[in-house]
Amino acid sequence: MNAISDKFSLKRMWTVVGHYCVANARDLLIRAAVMFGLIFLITLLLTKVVNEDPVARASMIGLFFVMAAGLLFTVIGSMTFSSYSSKPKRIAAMMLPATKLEKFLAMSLIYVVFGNIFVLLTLFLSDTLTASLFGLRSAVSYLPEIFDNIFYKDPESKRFILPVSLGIAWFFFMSQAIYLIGSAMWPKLSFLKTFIVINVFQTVLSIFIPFYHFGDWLGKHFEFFFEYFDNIDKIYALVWSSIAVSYLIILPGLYALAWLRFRNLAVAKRFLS
Amino acid sequence: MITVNNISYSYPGNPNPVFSDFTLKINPGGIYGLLGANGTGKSTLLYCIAGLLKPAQGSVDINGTDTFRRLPSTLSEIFLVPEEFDMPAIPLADYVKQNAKFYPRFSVEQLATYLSHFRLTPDIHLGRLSMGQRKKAFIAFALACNTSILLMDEPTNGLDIPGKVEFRRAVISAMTDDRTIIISTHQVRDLDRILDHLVMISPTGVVLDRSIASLQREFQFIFSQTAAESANALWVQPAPGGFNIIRPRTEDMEETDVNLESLFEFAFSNPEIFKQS
Repeated sequence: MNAISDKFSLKRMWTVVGHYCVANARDLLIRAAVMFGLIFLITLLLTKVVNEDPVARASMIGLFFVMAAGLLFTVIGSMTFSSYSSKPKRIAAMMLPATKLEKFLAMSLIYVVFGNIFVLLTLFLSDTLTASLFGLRSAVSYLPEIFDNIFYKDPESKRFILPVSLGIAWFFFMSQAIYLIGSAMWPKLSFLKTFIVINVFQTVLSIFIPFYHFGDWLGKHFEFFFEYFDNIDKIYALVWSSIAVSYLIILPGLYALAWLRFRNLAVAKRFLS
Repeated sequence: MITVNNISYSYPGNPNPVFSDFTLKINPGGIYGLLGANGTGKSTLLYCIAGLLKPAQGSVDINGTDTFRRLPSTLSEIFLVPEEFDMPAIPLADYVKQNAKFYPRFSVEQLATYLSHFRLTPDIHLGRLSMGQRKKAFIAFALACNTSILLMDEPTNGLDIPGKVEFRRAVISAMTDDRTIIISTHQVRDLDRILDHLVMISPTGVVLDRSIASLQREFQFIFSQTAAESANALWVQPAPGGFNIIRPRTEDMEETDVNLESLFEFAFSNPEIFKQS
């Protein structure tokens, strides 16, 4: 045996990233082009609908972007281990002399980190380009004002409160992490399979938790959600902080589950191995 | 040394095990032919050796390291040429640039030599080659990695007739004392005269595990137009225009090439002969 180290190497992880990007450059470019094309087209259509009113446009585009980001984050999460989707690809990826952790992190870096950045850039560019085509103020340019309203209870005094947008962002990241687990379990048709499993799970759950109870539960929490803006006191701050902390634990936990599954991948897959 | 320790394996959803308490030892150095009927687990065994499958019981070790751990130090010493392989549609130079860095003993000069055996050049674009040419390029790359273990699953499938001759030439030229090449195939004629060692497997285990030299010392493989020479024969197999005969060899008899097809039939019909020796 030679002197190749079996310890985790950051340098080798980046080599795996480069290896994957070169080998899959065509696929990655096509996916990126399709993603950008769709977002740009929809943004263009929405802008055309409300092009006379920049505030209405900003509101509509903002809502669309939140929905698009949520969807694209999950789609990207489900693509993370697509290089394991067929037997020849799986063999090539598994036989590459790098540690399992290096391969896991390389794929996560390409899709989750670079992919998310690409989504945000796509949204930003689509908005900026379409707005400039119609000679309007871009929706993104409203962000500082929106942030002021969300992040600060009183924009004048700049009193900081925990933002709802943070909760939405965490929800997106959690969804992405769940779809990433799905990708590690079923690299082929991952999005569809994960979507079905989640829906079956929700349906089964709804049998055990009667809907009216769930509605009560939801109503209570929505009430709490809105009350929060008006009653920022210590208890609410504590509850929100607890939720934030639980997110911080759950999110790495989901990635840990994906890693455990990935670590035991074999050429012939078992449902759980 | 490759050690297959009492492995048991069955594919998901299939209750019939491919291996049950299967054991095999492969010493370093030499070209091994892995033969067996369809579905007897030749590919599965290669995947287990490569660490791509996890046996339900037992383990496969290379120099004491469990291959399923797929450690970089182990993977950089194993190259697998699967029957169906993945090679991106990019220039070969780019493929080499991205992959060669994972194999410390990779040689660009050797790659050019092996490519020339297959009548290819290093400036080819993998996306513009036929399936057979891509396989040749992949085999040339595999040989140039200079890994101590090279596993090949049906490497001659998809190669044209000159390609099979070129394949044999390339494999022989890539052989070194410390290198182990394991070739799984049912196209035994494609491996004529390049094997050092034979391993034949069946669902019940190893049927034959012998060096070609020992088989040549012990048996004589002849073709006869009449059945007259079949006296004392261990195996007589009708063939077009005569008979393939396997008979015990004594010191005064000349050594012959091993007829793999006849030996295959013989070994599977008389497994006790090879188990005893």
